Amino acid sequence: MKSKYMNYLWYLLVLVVVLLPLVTFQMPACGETNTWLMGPKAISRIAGAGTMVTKVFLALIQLGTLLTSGMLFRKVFESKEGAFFATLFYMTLPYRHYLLYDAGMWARAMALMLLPLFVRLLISVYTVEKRQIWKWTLAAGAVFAAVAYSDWVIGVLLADVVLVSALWYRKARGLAPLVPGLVLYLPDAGKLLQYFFVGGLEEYQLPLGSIMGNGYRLGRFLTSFMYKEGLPGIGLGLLGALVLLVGLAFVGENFHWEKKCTFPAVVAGVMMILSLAVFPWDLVQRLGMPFVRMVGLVVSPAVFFGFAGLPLSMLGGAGVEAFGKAETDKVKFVQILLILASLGASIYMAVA
Amino acid sequence: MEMQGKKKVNIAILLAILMVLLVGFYGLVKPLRRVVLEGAHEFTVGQVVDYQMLYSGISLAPGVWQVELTYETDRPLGYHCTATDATVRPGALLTNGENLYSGKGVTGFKLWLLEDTDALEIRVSYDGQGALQTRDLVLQETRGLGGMIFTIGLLALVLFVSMQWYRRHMAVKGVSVGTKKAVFGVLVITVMASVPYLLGVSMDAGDLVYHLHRIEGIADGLTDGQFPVRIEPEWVHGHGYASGIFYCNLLLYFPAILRIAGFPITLSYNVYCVLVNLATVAIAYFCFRKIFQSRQIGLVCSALYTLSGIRIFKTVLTGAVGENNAMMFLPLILYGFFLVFGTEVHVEQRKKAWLPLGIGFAGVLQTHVLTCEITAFLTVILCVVMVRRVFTKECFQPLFWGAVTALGLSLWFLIPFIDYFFTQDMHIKHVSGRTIQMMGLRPLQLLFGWADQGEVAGMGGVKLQETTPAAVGWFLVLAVVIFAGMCLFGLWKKQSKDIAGLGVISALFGILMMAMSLKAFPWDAIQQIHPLFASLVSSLQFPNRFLGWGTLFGVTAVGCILWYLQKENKKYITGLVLAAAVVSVVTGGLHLNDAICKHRTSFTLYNVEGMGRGYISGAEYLIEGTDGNTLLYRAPMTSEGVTVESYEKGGLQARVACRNPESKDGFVDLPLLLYRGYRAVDVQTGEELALQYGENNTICVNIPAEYQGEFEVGFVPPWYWRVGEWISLFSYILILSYCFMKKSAREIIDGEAIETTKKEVGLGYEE
Repeated sequence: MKSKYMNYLWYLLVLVVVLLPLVTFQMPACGETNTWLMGPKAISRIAGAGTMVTKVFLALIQLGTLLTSGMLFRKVFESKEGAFFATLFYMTLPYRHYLLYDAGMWARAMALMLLPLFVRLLISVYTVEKRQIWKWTLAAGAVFAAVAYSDWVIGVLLADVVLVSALWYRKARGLAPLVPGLVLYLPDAGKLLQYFFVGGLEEYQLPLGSIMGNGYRLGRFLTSFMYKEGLPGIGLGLLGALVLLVGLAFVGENFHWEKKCTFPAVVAGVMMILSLAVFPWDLVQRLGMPFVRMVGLVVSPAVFFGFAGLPLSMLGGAGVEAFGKAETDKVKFVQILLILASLGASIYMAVA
Repeated sequence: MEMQGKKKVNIAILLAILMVLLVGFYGLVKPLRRVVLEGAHEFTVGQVVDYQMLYSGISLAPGVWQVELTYETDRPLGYHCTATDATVRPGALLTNGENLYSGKGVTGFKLWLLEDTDALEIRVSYDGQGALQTRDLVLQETRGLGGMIFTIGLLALVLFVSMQWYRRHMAVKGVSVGTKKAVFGVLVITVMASVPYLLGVSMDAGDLVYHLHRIEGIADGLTDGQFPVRIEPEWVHGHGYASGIFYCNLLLYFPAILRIAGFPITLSYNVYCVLVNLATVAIAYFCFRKIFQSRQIGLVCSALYTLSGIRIFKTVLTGAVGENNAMMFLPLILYGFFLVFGTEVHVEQRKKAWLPLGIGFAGVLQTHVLTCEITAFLTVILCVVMVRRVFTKECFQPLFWGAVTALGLSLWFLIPFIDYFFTQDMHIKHVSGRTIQMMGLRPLQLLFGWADQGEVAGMGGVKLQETTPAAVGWFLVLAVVIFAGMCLFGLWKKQSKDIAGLGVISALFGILMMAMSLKAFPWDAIQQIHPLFASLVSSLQFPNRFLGWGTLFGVTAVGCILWYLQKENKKYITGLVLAAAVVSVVTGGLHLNDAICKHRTSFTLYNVEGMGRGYISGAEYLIEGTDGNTLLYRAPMTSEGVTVESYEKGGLQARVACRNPESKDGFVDLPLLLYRGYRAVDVQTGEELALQYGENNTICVNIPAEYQGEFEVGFVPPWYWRVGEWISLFSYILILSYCFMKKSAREIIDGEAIETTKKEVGLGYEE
């Protein structure tokens, strides 16, 4: 009885979280919906004051991210340490900090909040029995639509990753969430496709130029405390954890590479390559006007690195988990350092 | 099955590398293309033009092209020519263009084109003053692209072969976990120290352009046939500059070779700096590991040293290439002296102390003479303190042979240096009036972490964060204080005398070095004592130069403390110290790197013409009395009656056909600075023509009365310079052979013998 009500509560939670961004009839100005305004609007009716609305809304996004990433990593990792650290790294990602506090790109931050939820649901789509697959598929599809409505670039990337994951794991069922997802996203997708292939919307003065100049150089990935405008790094704590993982793999002693880490590593690597300044996005734009509009609307390749934040956080958690298995006498020391590094750098970015 | 798979992967990689090498090789041997475009344009005086398009719609294939635009102007300097293309992707056309000079008449800058184009444009900016007419344009393909591809292929091949050798070595002999951890640690520290060099740009740094000129000068000298490069031939607008004689450029040959291979300036320099970082980490790790017999302490100390604020300040913010390179060798000197003076060091180990001492001193001498001065000063003090042991046979021998080794390795540089210093009246001998005390630091600056990339030397009226981030750091200062406290409480009484002694020396010398870097240190008063002191102190320029050694001593104190804690098995305190070390590195070096990456202005240089050819900083290596500002490109000047019929100049050579119908001697004044070693010889008769100083210390060739003929002027190093070079070459070969033979012999020695040796050392050995 209890688990049945928990299930209903779970469905309700997903529905509420997902429905909010779904209801929109606004044309995206830059590929991001105005749906996120509904949340602050609702809060302002309760709280009244302007700045309080912002603070509450940002707090909700942070809380939502904590919940969704916690749910995902608890499912992925055997140990609580792995889940904890992966969640910590995702929460303290400099790219998220940039979106929320520097650029004010809250819609994209919402997309990154929903991303772990989608992945969590997708894992269930891959692993549950066939008779239960439909409800996970619907839920995942709804979340996918919510992600795409929040930020179309993240939505497109997510769809691509889902496609590749189905090929990687050789399970066609992985594609299932895309069906309801794309159906739900159709209104917005239609408008975007119309813009890409037909044009229009001159009044919005949408960007059409090259995006290569806004991309990353190798060194920019490695920054810890500060970052040049629009190019946040991996962050101190996550950097340390990734060094741990690579180090354990390099030394090879008491280390076993988890298969579950391979696909995220590939996704992270590909996304980081796409975010580089040398990646020839201009050549893509030369394919035709649709691509000029599409790539131009991306504005900065940094979004690909932002997407890579989730798989990188998972790898960071895997690094801490593997270190715990390999070097038992130094584990606590390293874990404390990583926590201090993540939180310290995050606080520094907020106050400095 | 797995082996088969790995073999296939290896074959695939090897094939890919061979393909790259083939493509590169083809680029090196294929016929070069040339595009000639005729045209003419005259700029209107008074009409300012911002990059007038002279030629457009030029079709070019990918490659490294030399742009030769012919022009005439009456202004020595004032216009700029460059290439643009709005149709290629960002980063596909790389060039900085070139200034136009009245004495030159044709541009020669390179552009890197990485994709096909039909829309290349050549543009000139004109400021409305003076006459300027442009003529034909020639675009000459060079072997740069082929050179770059071939070099990349070659490096990939070397890396691949090394990795295969390492894998086989690992499979046969086995590599310990500790070694792998150390290798990984070294690589991680190198990467974190190199972040500013992984941005594809050069950070604005005071001395950087000067050192880039040094690199260009070596590249020019090598292509001119000069080896070793003593006088950079194209520097000072083709007059030549004797920087290579006074500022040893040994380590800069590598980036110069990258430049010759076709790589742009910023990329060549950044690659070089990353390798310097790697060498610094590796050498520091090696030395500290050997001293403390612990890999962990070796890694911690090398991280503290390489990522210290002062080192990043010198490397990135100041662009002090020489000082940065010298810091690479300081740990070797420390290790060498430890072996010499350590009472518990095994006899066989002490006998080998000449090697790190010799290489260390040679390295410092051949990278930064000022650091060598400071090192010599410390060496003298150390020898005075240890005077009783210095003159014992067991200590004197390695000291003596170390000095001989350093001398042998450095003779190729020292002989010309001493020769010119005593026979040429160089400007550097006249700068003793410079005072340095006001450039000293405040005590708080020594402690500070969290530095930004500020530049103010003092602190008056500015925040600490905005001052010069030339800090030793709170952690190293604290380590010195803690070590002193440990001595006071007698904690070292029952410990190794060598480590205790090392700690005491490091603490005392560290305090001395930090004190000498302060504004409170009476440098002005010292300069007043004697002209020699005035000259030595003036040459230092900045008291913060003492912090290189100051940091090393602080790091050594940390090493001693960690060694003690490990010996006493104090795990929790060790953890605390290590955590503090991590915090120190993160809030010090890493924070400063991040601040630099965020705030520092930067530039990207591709071709040398982008920075001009005239910058010589303080003009230290000009002949005294030379006005560097007037040394611009020009044609030869002659005395009345003398006519130049033909003139060719390349590098340090000039070939002139002239006629002097007068009944008295005349002269031809060439745009070359008259450093000792130039000769003018008649091409037909072989007779030497006299040289004298021209109006601005340029070469003035005496043309005898009624002379008609052709003479050649060139730089000929004296025979004794060559003797020094051969001795040094022989020394390098001997050292390398010795190291190689020792390594081979060590691999043959039975494992038990090695264990026996380790026990005799008595300090224990951590695996």
